Amino acid sequence: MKKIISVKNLTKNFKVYHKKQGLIGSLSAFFKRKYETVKAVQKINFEMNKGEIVGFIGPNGAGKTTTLKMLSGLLHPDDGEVSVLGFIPFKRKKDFLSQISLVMGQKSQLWWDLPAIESFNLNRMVYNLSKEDYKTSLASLVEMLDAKDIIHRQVRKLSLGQRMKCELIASLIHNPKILFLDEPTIGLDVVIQKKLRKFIKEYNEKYNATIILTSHYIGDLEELCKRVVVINDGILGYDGDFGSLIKKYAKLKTIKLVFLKEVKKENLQKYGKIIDFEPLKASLEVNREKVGEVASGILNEFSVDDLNISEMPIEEVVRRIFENGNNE
Amino acid sequence: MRKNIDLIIQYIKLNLQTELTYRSNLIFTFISAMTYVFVFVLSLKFVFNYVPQIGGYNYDQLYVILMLSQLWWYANVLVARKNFQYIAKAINNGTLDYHLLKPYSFRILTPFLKFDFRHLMPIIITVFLLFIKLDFSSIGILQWLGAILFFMNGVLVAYSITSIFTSFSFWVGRNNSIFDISLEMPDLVRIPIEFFPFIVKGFFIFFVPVIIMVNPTFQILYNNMDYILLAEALIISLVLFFISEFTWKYGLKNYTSAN
Ligand SMILES: Nc1ncnc2c1ncn2[C@@H]1O[C@H](COP(=O)(O)OP(=O)(O)O)[C@@H](O)[C@H]1O
Ligand SMILES: [Mg+2]
Repeated sequence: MKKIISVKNLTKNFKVYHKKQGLIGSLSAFFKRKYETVKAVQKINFEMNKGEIVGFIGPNGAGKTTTLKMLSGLLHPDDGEVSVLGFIPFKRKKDFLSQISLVMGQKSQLWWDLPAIESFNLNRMVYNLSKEDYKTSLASLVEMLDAKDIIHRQVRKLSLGQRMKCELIASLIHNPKILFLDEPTIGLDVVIQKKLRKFIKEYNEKYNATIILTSHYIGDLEELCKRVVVINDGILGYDGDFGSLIKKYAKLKTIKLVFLKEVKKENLQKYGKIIDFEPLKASLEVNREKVGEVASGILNEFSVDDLNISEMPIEEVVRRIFENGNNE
Repeated sequence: MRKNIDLIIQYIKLNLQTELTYRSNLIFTFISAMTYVFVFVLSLKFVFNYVPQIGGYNYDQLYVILMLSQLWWYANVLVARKNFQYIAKAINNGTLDYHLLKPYSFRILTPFLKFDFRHLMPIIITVFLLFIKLDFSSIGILQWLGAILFFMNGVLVAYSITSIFTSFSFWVGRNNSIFDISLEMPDLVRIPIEFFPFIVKGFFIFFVPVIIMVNPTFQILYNNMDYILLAEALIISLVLFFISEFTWKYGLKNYTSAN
């Protein structure tokens, strides 16, 4: 079967100029500039099938956004080949653009001074939708996102979460076959993050849309993506099953504890590897399958003020992946 | 085409709606824009109290060329300046992204992106002020058509130049100087061609083409055509238009879409 997205040796460098601090730095930069090349994406290869959801993870500055921008046609690649739906994205053919969408957590396409519905309506014309198609699509999105009340409010006055819902509606109104989501849940509270993830899943199932989403947090992708791609410093280090990634490189979770009464280190040791200890505070590394068991054990044995379970930081996972790669 | 027209209308509507949410002070913009014209007309009147004409031009003629140049300037602000200022900023902060991702002809929409209603009013008033001095009985239909064509040609020249300079933002980053320099333009634009000394004439036709902005329209209205200048105006306009398309396309390749 023909792949819906295929990327070969994709490469992008940025030239940034370096300036020393202060006025003197600015002055000297005015006369003589020092340029530095940032290798944002280096010879990346991957392919995707229709209907797949793939998660891109990597720390900040890894090259995730740059990759999505090349896939959607915003940036001209320096080298390599990209094909999306059989098009070369950078040519930005109308037929191509009307079948994709890129949503960026940090940028907005909505008209800030007007209610979001006006931006939707503008997109109806931009994408040549019939009135009926538009109505059906809008109604379905509004319902899925539970956004009936907010689309008539001035965008400027919406909370970040509400705005993100509107951003998604504006981007999906034309029912794109491919959806690129760049950190769509960044800065949102946990409840809304969960809702949006559920929505993305539903959308994928309902329309068989192909979706790439990025995150610098593993937990974001757990419920959504069977397959993940890990990049760091522009290099692709892992492409495969989410489960095996976890098994191989992110077996552990961290439990952070705050106690009401002082505890003894020895008593805590049996629960996991202690990575941080003060009489009233501790951090433990625990196998992810055992987290529930361990947490309830601790809650029974000690008087706990606060308990917090988190994924391994992405930097740590990435370090392990790339170390492992070098050994093989 | 139909789609483009619908989109243009929609953009104009949305801009009007935005304007209305802020109830921006139409009167205020209007007063400041018109004060300039009235001060100029008054000083012109004052000078003509002492001399019957300047360089072969009488009061009415200089008045007409003044109004034409004002009209040209407002049109330029409306279709080029506002929009390209917005685009230059969008290139720098990466907000051009969403325009580039849309399946529409961005270049056709450009003049309407930030359509500013506050400038419609001075335009209407200026047309009125222009018409009260024109001798309608001496201007035939062909002259009207020619005048309108060459007026639009003058606006197109300004538009293309602004576009070319805006494209430079793709390489050099923030780039406001073009907008500052162009503020001085109306002063040069309203000078009749004969007032330019021969040695700088060529410069102001080909390099800083202020002479072709409104002089052709003016000549046509007074049936006093310099056909070489008219031809030059059309050719320069065409050349600049193609250069602007080229610099835009080429600039886009260098778009870095800042985060
Ligand atoms: N427009 C740009 N100009 C210069 N450098 C950039 C630009 N965009 C990204 N970069 C650099 O490229 C690298 C990758 O960035 P990005 O793709 O945004 O990473 P991520 O999305 O994974 O956080 C970073 O080092 C970043 O500083
Ligand atoms: Mg990013």
